[in-house]
Amino acid sequence: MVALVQVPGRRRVRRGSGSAPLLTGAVLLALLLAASFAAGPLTGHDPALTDLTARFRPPTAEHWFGTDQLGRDVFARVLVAAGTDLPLALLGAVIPALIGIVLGALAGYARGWLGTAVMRLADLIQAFPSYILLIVLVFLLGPGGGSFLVGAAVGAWVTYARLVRGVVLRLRELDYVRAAQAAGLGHTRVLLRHVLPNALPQAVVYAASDIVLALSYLAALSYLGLGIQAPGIEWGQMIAEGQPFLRNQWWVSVMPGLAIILVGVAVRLIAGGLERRLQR
Amino acid sequence: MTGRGRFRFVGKRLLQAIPLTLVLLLLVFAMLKVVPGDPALQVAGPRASAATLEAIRVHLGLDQPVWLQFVHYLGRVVTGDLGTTATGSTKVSTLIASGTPVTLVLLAVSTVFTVLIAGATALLAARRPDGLADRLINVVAAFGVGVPTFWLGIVLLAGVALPTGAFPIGGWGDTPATVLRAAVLPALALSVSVAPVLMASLRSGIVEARRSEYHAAAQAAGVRGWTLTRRFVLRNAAVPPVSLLAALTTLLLSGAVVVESTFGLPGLGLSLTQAAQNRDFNVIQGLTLVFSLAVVAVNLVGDVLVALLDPRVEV
Amino acid sequence: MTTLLRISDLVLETGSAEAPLRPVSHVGFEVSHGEAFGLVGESGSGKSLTLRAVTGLLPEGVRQAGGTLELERDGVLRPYRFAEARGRGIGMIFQEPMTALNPTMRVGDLVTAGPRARYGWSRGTARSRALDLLAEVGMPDPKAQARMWPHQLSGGLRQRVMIAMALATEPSVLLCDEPTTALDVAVQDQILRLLHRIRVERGLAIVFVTHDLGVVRRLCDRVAVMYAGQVVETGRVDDVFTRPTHPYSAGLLRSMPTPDTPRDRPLAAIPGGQPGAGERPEGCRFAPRCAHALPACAGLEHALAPVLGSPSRSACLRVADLGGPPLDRKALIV
Repeated sequence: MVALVQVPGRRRVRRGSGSAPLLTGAVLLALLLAASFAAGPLTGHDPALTDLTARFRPPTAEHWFGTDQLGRDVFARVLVAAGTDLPLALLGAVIPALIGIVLGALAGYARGWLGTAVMRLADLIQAFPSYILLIVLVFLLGPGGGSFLVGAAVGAWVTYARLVRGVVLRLRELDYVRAAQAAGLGHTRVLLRHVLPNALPQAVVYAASDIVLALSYLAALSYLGLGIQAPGIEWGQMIAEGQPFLRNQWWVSVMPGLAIILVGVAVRLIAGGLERRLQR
Repeated sequence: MTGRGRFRFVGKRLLQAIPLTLVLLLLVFAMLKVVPGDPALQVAGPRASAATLEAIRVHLGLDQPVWLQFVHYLGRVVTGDLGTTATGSTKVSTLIASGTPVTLVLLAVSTVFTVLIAGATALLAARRPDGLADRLINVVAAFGVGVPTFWLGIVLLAGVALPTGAFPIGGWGDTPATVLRAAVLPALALSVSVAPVLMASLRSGIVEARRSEYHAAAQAAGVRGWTLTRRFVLRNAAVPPVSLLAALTTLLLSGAVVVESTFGLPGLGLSLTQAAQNRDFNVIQGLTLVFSLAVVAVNLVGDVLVALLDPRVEV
Repeated sequence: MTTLLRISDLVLETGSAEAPLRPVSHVGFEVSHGEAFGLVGESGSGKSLTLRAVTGLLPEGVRQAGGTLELERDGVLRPYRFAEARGRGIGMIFQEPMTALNPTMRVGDLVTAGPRARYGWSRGTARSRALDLLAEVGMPDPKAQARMWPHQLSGGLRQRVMIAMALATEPSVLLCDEPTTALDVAVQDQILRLLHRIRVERGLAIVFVTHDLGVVRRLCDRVAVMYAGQVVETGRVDDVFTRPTHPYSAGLLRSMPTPDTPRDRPLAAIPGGQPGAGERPEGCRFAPRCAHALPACAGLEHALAPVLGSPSRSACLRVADLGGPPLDRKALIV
């Protein structure tokens, strides 16, 4: 997936500890996740209950987000879907980060053919547009959350690998790492003690913003019918299901998107807050 | 860089793209080898006899060594033979030929929108760094990146196309006017997520150029007005975004795959998703090849453009 | 000689409007037609900011809070608008030719960008004028170099391009902000000779901002010495260099090596350092470092005033007390 040099919202302007946005974002996500387990009691509607007498009710106090073509409460379904989307998006950001850190460290230390091979592989992966890479992998592996995770891992590790490799290369030249090596510390120790602490702040900020990317990939895949399949519930899939009824029942499609945007805002708050904290 | 130096640069860059292209071809060819299921079985159907299967294997060249199969594959690619669709009714090359103009028009209109949106907002934001407009634009941009393209497309359909009737609610056109009208909303949906990236880069370039010594020196030498903006601000501010151009086009291309499905545009992206849904191997293989070669070409063009714009790029 | 450029009571502020800092306070000087005027001081004395203020090209966050800037036109000194004066009357040369030349423009286009934007010169006019200008500033092969990019030139040639660019609008005064600081010593000398030649040939006035007293002595007619955002002494170069009327100028001169300085004697340094814009003492700003300071020096600010028995003007309260030539640099050498 394409690594962007500069993402808006990442600009560093303000002062402050970053605790407030960090907390706000984290609480938002936590609430959403908690609500996904209690969607029925919270909304007063069983998300799975079809009620053909209550089809296509517009948003009201009774049904906040209206009902869908089968009379299911859209709000309850949006909450339930958070239980699918959030963990997968999180994993879709964390797994490639871990892989990237390991491969980047490898590429930084093993400067022979192994390091070159890792970096060439990174170039190659970046030559594919992200959705195409995902679609091809899902095609090869079959649709589903697992395939999405594999696709995310294959596509997104590159940014972290470049980051960590850069830090390793820089630190290799520094005396204290050489001294540490001379003192008999193994590669693993040097990596854990010196390299990671230097690369981690940036990597954490990347990973936080990658959650948004991962979520949009997951939703897009499901929207295209290549991700989460019914009876699983996922926001992108809900949007696709509602699209045929767009003319008169727009809420079925539009409401789930609001949840994606909410997660985007929350994650950006977290990323911004983390960046400010870690930079100090 | 002199003219001849540039020529040499382009040539050298072209040569560098050849190994990458070969590796991509190899990868796409290898897809065949990792796809689950026996291709001969898929062609012949589950009830075929062992003899029939063997005959089909020979016919498909699957009995030959892998490297020879690759050579044959290369030969077919060069002659434009990418096989037929699963139903056997259409050649993949025909599918690509009919989808390419749609995707290209979509990309072109999106690029125009992206540049317009990003350029206008960047100039506005850079007018007073950290001023109200700048902060507002930054927040909106951060927001824009997180909005799913397909969802925005749906909102545009529900909020603009359906109520106004000014745009088709899906599908393509057959005259330039209807084609453009069909491309407007999907292109808009596509640009909203990409423009912020270009905007951020342009904005910081403009701010940097305005703070630069050469800007002050030009003013001191009496340069002012539009000449000052054009030759001492925009031209300099355009260098970093141009190096982003390849990445941005890749991003647009990627988004086009999804947005074509939302709007039912008969482009390459729609073919790809439909092929993935129908598990149509030849189509997937052919389109993957087209998309990845397109990215190689885009990167090539991007590098050459940077070299043309920034004379300091040495060969 | 009539006055060409007059700066009076210039105040530059930075920081918040409630508690502004003043990197330059109440600076004034005059430059006559054809005169070479030096503005010397350490870095942080406000000399470069003063020069930038004259063209209205202050860096972000610095604003002019007071003062009048006047330029002679048709025999009358009158306040000018920056945008007007920049292309007609005032030219400027920057310290770092690498960063002051737009990297994305060819040398030939760069040199005439000003008059092209201003007078709408045709491409052909601009091209031939550019070649003339490049030849005038001593480019060895104007035709070839006009087609080059700034980064392809050496530092010395870049500075010549900078000069040609400033000359393109036919200014009557050329402001030079440390024009040789970024250059090799050998090249410095060539650029100084060039500036001197252009000045003589064109009858230009030149304002030199520099920390190099040698440059001032070599090229300038008159000089103003700046310290902590103020002018502390001004006068003819001959007078100031032989009989400084301010302890700071005297100290500066003592810290400058001369041909007759014995090699083994360390150069005298003024104890302490120049106060920054936020830490300036009341009264005479040099008093805390001055060997001649009296309690009264800390009390009141002393404006530039004529000195008895010297053509210079000094801001030192004790000039009269110290009498005759007490600040003569030889007398001050400890």
